[in-house]
Amino acid sequence: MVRIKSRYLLFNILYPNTPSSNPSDPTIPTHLDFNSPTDPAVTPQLLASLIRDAVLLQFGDWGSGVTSSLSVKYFSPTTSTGILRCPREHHRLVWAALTFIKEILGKPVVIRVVRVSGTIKKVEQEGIKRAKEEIRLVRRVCFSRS
Amino acid sequence: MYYDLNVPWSPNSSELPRIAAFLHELGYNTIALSHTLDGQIPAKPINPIPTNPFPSLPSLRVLTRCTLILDDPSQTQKLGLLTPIYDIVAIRPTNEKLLLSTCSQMEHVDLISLDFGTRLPFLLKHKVLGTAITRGLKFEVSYAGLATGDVGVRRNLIGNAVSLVRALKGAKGGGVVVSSEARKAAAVRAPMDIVNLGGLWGYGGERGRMGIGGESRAVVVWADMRRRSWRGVVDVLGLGEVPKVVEVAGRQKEKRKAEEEAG
Repeated sequence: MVRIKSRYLLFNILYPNTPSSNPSDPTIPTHLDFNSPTDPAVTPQLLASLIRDAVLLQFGDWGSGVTSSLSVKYFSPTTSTGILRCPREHHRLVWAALTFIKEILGKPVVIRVVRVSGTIKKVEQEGIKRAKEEIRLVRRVCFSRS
Repeated sequence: MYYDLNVPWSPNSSELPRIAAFLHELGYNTIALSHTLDGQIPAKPINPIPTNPFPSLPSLRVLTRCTLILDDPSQTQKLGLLTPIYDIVAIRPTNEKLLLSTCSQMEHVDLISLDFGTRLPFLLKHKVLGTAITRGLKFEVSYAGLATGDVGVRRNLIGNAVSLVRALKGAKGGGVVVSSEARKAAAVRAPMDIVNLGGLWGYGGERGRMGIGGESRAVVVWADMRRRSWRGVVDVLGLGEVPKVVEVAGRQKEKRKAEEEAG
């Protein structure tokens, strides 16, 4: 009763309009094209304010009131992955606001929530696992091209 | 298994490979390319969608679908002609009378799709929609308007989706299929994000997951059954070959395997 419980959301920012780097089929972008790095100007603070604006737009003053403790705990522009913390009762609301976000700094984006957890540890572990997988894919592409 | 049963197709759609690639990236396994038909069905309808449109995406199953915009009762006479040509036939009725006849009597239909981005000229009532569910038809909600539409479209979409869920509340098995109707790659969303939105619209938990999984699968399977089997009861699985009998267990089987590998 006393402890405030939160939910941590691990999300990816995907770029659907990246030009294809696929040598075999230029009309079909690859997994790495869609998961390209984000502009380094996007900081956790900027992202938090963007998400709060999205909540305000979709859910009004009530939405922004109940999610006042929303914060972006981690964001890496290289992997376009971030961890968001929000109140447990309203995490679906925040998740929906993420789904409604159309663009960041003028670029069209699709935000995809990959993991929801009550503790940040599990979310971090999932993030690390995915980052390792991405590195493996990038390496494979680099070696196949060189 | 995630399904997206409404990806609009047009002859000169340059965005389509990108949309298909993005859907594949987000985890969708089966998509249906939708060809919209307006007005009267031609006497000899042809499916303009090519058979293997995305050879670079072999693990993506691509089906063909026809969305017929129904505004005149006389269009339904030739509906049976579409069945052998498209994998899924969807109807989009535009008035209450046609909605009622689609739900209760119309044959040769696999899916009922309504344009939820606009203010519907009729109310969604359980009495009408329930008959469709008992017959095995499902209703489709297309979510592209959420990303690409303006405020009015978004409001209508959410309002209509909530009304649909409410009208289908007592109906056995949910009956709602969620699909994208995305004309641009930026309008597509990941399956679990859609399930979450369903949770906000009153379609929570397992029913939400069915919207992009189980219910869509039911539509695809039933559409297939309608084409292949006799009245959904009898279906031929093979051509009647006598199956090869591989007798014996244990050692002998291993011996045989070893022989096969060697020789």
